[in-house]
Amino acid sequence: VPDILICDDDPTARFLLKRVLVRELNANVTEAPDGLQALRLLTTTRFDALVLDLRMPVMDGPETLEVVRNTPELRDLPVIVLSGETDADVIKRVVHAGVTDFLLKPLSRTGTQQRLMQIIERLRGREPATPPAAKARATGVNLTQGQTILVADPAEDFRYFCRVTLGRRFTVVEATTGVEAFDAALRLNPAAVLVGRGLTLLGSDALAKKLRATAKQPMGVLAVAAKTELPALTASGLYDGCLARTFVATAFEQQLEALGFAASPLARLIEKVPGLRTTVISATEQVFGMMVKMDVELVGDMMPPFTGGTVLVGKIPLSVNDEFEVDIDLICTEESANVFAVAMFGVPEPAEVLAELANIVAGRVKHAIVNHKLSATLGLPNVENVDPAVPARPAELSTRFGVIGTSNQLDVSLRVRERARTAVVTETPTEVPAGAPAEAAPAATATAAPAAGEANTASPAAAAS
Amino acid sequence: VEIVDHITTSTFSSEDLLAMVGSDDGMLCELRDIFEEEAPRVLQDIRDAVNTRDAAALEHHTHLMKNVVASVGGRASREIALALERAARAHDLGNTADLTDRLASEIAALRAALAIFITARIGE
Repeated sequence: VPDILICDDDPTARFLLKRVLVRELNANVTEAPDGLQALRLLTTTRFDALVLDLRMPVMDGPETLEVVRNTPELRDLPVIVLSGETDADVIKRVVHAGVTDFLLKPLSRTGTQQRLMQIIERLRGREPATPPAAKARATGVNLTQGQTILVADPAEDFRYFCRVTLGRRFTVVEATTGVEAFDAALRLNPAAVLVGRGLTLLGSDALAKKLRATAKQPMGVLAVAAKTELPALTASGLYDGCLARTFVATAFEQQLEALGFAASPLARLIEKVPGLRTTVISATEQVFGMMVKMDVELVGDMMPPFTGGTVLVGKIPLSVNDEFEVDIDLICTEESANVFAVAMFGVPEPAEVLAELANIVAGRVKHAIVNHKLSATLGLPNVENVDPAVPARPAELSTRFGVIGTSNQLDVSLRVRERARTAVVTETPTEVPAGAPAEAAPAATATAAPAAGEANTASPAAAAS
Repeated sequence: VEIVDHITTSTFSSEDLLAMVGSDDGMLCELRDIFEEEAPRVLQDIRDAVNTRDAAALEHHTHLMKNVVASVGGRASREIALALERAARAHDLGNTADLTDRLASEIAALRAALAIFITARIGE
């Protein structure tokens, strides 16, 4: 039975919320008419969630939320904001402070009930369970950057997902049938083959058997299947490892890590900032719900790029701890951006709306990072047209949202690079011919300094300290 | 203020009220009781704020009144409360006394309409 604290100066709103929470969700409800009384209750009683109005006397919603988020014992309390607010600055303030979810005013019995049930369900499973880590055989699958991976799967969307998630570190070759995959494996000797279910011509398990029987050099043969199929596939002994099929990049990567894949920069950032994906999703939902007044829902991760018409991207760079460079992009068609702009500003200003939305989402991501005791610096937003002739650099975490009841969609993507620590020579070096190996460089006192950009490919020999 | 001069919406919307309470007659009566208790109190707070020319207090009380009347289907009174809230936010208090009188009249009409609706619905 959840214990919920409702904080609102409007007794009619408290009444309606209490009625729904008690009758439909069997909750224990306590009421407070302002933020100060809510904080008094929060310091003496344990609650599972706080429903918080924004405009109140004595201590308003944003102030109360900031106190909650800055109090170690209360920092993780789920806070559902009640908002009929149209003031963008107030919305930015609460989104920045960290809202778990929101309810739009005016309340109605049916709408409030449905929304509250969604929220409570979401709170119950707040951190989606990660698929069980796959177990590699004793022989192991030891993959290193640059090797070839063959993805054999009949589904275009899953092959695309693999191309994007694995393509940053490996050469990805795709096959749609078992025969095609077997042929490619014999020709290319990939380091690993991901075998999806439902392959035709040569079935998935038959392909695995043939690969194991004929591979001339070590080749990891990995099954990719629904979670429910994994025990049987593991027991079959045909595969070196079994992965739960998912379109969540981080969950997929976690499974791959268990099989010996080198950790991606995103995985390393998520180690430091757990729940980063959840933050991106909730920030986007809140920003749309409260500022654009449109409800969005998850469509999927790593979806194929938008095509047709002009596509816009709102970009914000974020530097984390002098270790990571994160690009946060909001991408949609110009047509959709116009719809969002009219809803938000009343005028079709697609670039402005993308910049504004990107800025707020990025602000929330930054806040989540800072909460994990890392430093973070946001750059300025920029909006560009996507040139279809230039392939986009693949994102590491890309989530597509659809506006409920419309065909408008939006991608929120994060690309993470690690800053390399390159040597800064502090004594006058002897001149070294261009192209000489790093080992040939003269001894010199060197200190580590961060360098931005695609420096994660820099030679380890160049690193110091 | 301009909006209020052109109010064409109804005093009471049973649709709005039923969206709030559904078919739950017990909830309808409880909500009516809360409205009967709150509306006069908040109206007095609004009058006090107008008399003392306290724009911040006026903004707060009219915001609250807007939600209270909306919860029982008061459309016209909601619009007047909204106009008062906007005037207070803009520190434009010149016409707020007249608006408050209009709000009081609309609330009286809303109470009467609500009573008729509840009597017709459940005979109370």
